[in-house]
Amino acid sequence: MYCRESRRPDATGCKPQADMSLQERTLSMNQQDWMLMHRVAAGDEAAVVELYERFSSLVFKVARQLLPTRPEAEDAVQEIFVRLWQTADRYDPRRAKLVTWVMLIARRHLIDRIRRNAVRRTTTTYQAEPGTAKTDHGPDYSPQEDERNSRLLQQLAGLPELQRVVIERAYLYGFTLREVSEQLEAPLGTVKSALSRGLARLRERAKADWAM
Amino acid sequence: MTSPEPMTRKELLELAALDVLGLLDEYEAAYYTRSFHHAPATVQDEIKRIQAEVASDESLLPGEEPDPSLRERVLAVVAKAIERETSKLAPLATIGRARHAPADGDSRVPLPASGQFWRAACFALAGITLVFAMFYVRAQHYGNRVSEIALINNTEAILEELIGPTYKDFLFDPDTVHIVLIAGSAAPSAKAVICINERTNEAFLITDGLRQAGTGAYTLSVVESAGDDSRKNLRRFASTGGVQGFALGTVAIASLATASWQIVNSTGQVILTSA
Repeated sequence: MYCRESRRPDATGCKPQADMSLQERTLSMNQQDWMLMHRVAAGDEAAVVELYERFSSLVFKVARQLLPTRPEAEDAVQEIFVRLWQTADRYDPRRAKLVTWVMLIARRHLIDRIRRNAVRRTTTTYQAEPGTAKTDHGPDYSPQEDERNSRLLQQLAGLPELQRVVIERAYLYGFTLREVSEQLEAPLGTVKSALSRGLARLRERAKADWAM
Repeated sequence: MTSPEPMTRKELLELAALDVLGLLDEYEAAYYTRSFHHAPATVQDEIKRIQAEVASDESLLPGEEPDPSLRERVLAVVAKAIERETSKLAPLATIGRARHAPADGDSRVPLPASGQFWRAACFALAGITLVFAMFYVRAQHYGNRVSEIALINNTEAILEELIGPTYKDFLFDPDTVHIVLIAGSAAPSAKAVICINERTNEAFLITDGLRQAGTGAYTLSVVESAGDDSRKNLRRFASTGGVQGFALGTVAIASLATASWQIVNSTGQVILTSA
């Protein structure tokens, strides 16, 4: 048993974190996360509050990135936390860390929501110019016109065209890779690689910008 | 249809970000998970680390924070969902009892129709079970009694068959004298008793353990007094080895106290004797 904050053993036998190896700390965190989700699954209100405190900011930002308005993002956050409660008993710390699980549930829910609402943009071609993609958010909606993704869009502009288009369509619009592959008439493997490399490059550039 | 080979480490790492961002379709996601479980522990740890980094990386996300009021709304929605789910399960767990006491202090809450039905069914079932239990106990007692009577009757029938229908007259008559014969070394397990009614002089012989030997014939004889060589053979009989009874008819013996009784086999060897 390990204490979260204290560095001194207490009456319950908590072990000071300074004495714990990295592996022990990781194991302890996994156990704590598993216990948290176990309590969430059981409907423990305090556990739901803890889950919200830890991940609400991240979940809201992801929702805000994919949905055009704050009210829509807030609605989605509510649905995502209900979904997290419904799926809490399936969380397996051996498969993924809790933040990964929360992100996966959130992204899948948002993509489903986008698809349910028939958020489909007019097909743009592989050769389309940046900023021409349109969606059903509104007649003139385009992520390129939205300030909230300005940082991402700046980074996107510097990517090779295939990577940029694939990221726009899959990462921002929720198209499946197969759909993107058909739209661009490019092999599925090529689309996967372009997306993977593009995302990695984006993250590297974003980190470098943060460091400056 | 065969399953594809698990992904290599390179493929797993390449698709790690796509997996966590929900960009793989259902089939690919399942394939990825299966491959993950086939991977060595070190690769799994590497993937988990990369995916956690991708998931928690906010550098590509908008900088907006949620409104503080969203917290209460989210918690309320989740609580409502939990309550709804719990209420679905409630009837199974609360047959016959109300979940919450009402505010006015009256703890008796009317049951729904289904609850009343199940309660009545439970009472009926308990009553039927009790009746069957009582019936079973009585039937078992009656069965035991019948067996006991049958056993007694059967014992009497066997004795009558072995010894004869009049054996009771000899065994239980106060005037009957029982003379027990003692086995000799030739047949140590043999037993015999002679019952003589002093009033009627009727006699009866019961033997046990006289095995069939030689011709199988045995002779009961009596010497009325010591020193008297006049041996009188009373009955010649064959034995099968079990309990057997033989009516000896009227036996006139002057003095039972001085008479000596013997059972000898066909070779003249004394098997049992009264002295």
